[in-house]
Amino acid sequence: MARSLRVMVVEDEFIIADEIAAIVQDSGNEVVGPFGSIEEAEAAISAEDKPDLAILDANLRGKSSIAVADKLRHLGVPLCLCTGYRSDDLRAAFGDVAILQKPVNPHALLDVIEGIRRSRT
Amino acid sequence: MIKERSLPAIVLLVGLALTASSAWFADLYLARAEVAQSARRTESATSAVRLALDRAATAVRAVRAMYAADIVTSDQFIRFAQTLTRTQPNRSLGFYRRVEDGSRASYERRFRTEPAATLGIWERDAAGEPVRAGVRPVYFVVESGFLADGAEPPYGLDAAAPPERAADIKEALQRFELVASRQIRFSSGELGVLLYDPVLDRNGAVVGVATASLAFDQLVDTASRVSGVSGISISVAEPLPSSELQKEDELTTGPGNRRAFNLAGHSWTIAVAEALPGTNVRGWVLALIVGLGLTSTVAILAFIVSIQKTAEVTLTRTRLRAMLDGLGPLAWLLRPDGTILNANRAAAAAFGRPESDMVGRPFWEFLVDERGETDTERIRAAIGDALAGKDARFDFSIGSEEDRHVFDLWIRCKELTGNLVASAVDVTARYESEQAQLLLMRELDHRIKNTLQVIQAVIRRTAKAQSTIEGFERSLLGRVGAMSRAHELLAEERWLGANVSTLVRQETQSFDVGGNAIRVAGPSLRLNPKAALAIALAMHELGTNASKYGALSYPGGVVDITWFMDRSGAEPALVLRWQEAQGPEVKEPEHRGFGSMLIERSIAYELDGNATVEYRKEGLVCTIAVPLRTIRPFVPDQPARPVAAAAE
Repeated sequence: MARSLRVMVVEDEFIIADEIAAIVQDSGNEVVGPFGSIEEAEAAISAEDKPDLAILDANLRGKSSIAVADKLRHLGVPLCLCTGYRSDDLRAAFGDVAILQKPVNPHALLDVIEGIRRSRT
Repeated sequence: MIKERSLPAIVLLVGLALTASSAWFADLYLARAEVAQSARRTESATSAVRLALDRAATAVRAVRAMYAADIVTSDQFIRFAQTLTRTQPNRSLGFYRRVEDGSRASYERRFRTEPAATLGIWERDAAGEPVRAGVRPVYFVVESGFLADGAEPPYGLDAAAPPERAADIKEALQRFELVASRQIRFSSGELGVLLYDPVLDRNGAVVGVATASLAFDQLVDTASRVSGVSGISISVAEPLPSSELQKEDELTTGPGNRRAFNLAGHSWTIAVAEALPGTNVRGWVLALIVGLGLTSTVAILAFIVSIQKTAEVTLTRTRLRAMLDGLGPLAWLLRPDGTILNANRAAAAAFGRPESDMVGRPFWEFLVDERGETDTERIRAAIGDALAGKDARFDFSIGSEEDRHVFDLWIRCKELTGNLVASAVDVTARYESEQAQLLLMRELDHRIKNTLQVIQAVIRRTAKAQSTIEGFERSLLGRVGAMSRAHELLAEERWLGANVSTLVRQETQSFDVGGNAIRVAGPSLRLNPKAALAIALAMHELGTNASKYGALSYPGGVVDITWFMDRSGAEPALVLRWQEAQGPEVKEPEHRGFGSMLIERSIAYELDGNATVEYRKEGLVCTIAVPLRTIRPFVPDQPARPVAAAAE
């Protein structure tokens, strides 16, 4: 029996953040956040208490979330970008990460979460 | 231009005309001068000849006078003649005694010299040998004589023995004055004449003739010495008829170098040869003038043409240069190896250095990109293509990240010399506009996707909250409509922001059925798009709730929407209050709906503010407080960049 994952949600649009958080929660996993700004997200990251997965918007209130991405990647946290920007542009900046194009299909998001959970067991 | 073109032709014509007229005038002048000179020479020569002839005649007359007086001995005569012939042109002087045949014998006794001593009065036979003279009624015997060459005179010779001599002597005697013989050739071979002057005694009887011989050569020598004229020739015509004899005045016959005069019963003609026979001075002078004239004309012509050519070339060059410098595009002339020969002003300006700095340096040195490097290979390849006859054209970017320029560069080989023409048009603006458009498209794409994501979430949430399809539809359409109206307002303001008052009125209008249930009051304030959307959605949720359960569901119920800037806190904040009154009594709901949750949490989440919904008995009150920093429209000092650029 797989344990539940701690999933960090970083998204500046409340309705979307709430929706993603709901999907994560409904799948039986724990939500860290959601965080609506880079500063809040960065403050929430610590090595002792790192999440199992982070779902990131690429751009929060006009700022790139690459700093958050780098910090998480440094800690070995798998990333999933949820964004309306083109994947090509994002890969150039963020490297090889999982990308879900908005509007996010809840099932695709669940597949990503499920994939991570399986790799953990 | 027409004048300049015709100038050489005019110069040529004037030059030719001047040359021709100079030659003509010179020819005329020289011809006249020649004639005049010839005439002068002939005059001098003629005068000199006449002078010499006069002297000779004078000598003969002197002899006549001596013998007329019969005062002279033979020796005296010789001394006299010697003296005379030093200054006279006479070849000889002499006296012939008239001896009648009757007194021949007594006269012959006087002879002491041979052949006369032997032969008596003598003459020459056909072979020229002396023989005793035949019997004639009268003899003219050489009695005295002097020959200038010192030879012995032929004493005793009958000078009238040859019939023509007899005729001449007879002529002189008849005329009774000095007469010249016909032109004769002396035994020495010289041409000349004899002069005869009859000698008469006191009684008027003829005693003989004084005589002199003149050689033309000698006469000419004397005349030449006196006059300084060379080339004189003398001829004597046949004896003149008596009627003409008195006319000793000069008469010109034939050309200017010939004079004739009458003297001693003959017409004498004096001719003077050309000064320099064989030398055509006039011809040479004319040739010189014509040559000089033509040479000068051609030289002037060449000079003018060269000046015109130079001026033309300079003008053409200046015009071409002006055209090149006036061009907007950059232009270079390159050698086949890529070094710069010329650069126009635009090219010099684009690289901020004078043309002289560019000339002689490789073209690609100036095409440096933002990394300070230049794609030498690409340009070399393009030059190679151009030399092979293919136009090379490509976009080329130079300069730093801050000041980047993109050029549409052409390299073509259009010159016979194999040089290349490179031209470049700055297409930076077009490039940037293309880039901006691309950015805009991506941004639009992003926003649409984001909006779709929001709508997807709204749909899911609305679906969870509503138990009937009708309720779901109404609720969803209301929310989407609210979002749509807010978008519309923002679009009108080009997404720069929206006025609070406008936004609130627009969003609540549909709930105010009577038109006076909702009162809106507050200072003018602009909101950024994010804040505008959040507040619009909040107004929609509150309006929906009020129409369903609150003040707007009850006749006479009112809603006051007011806002103000609160500057009492740590940072200025907008405080917006929704206050319902005169509606039904309000009860706290059993569980909070999506609407109030959305208001409270989205305001906190997105705008760092806080929103509270209070269910007061007298009416619902919603207070939204948001810091100014999160709702103020941002002043875009730079156009939005894509996430990739922003991520750097």
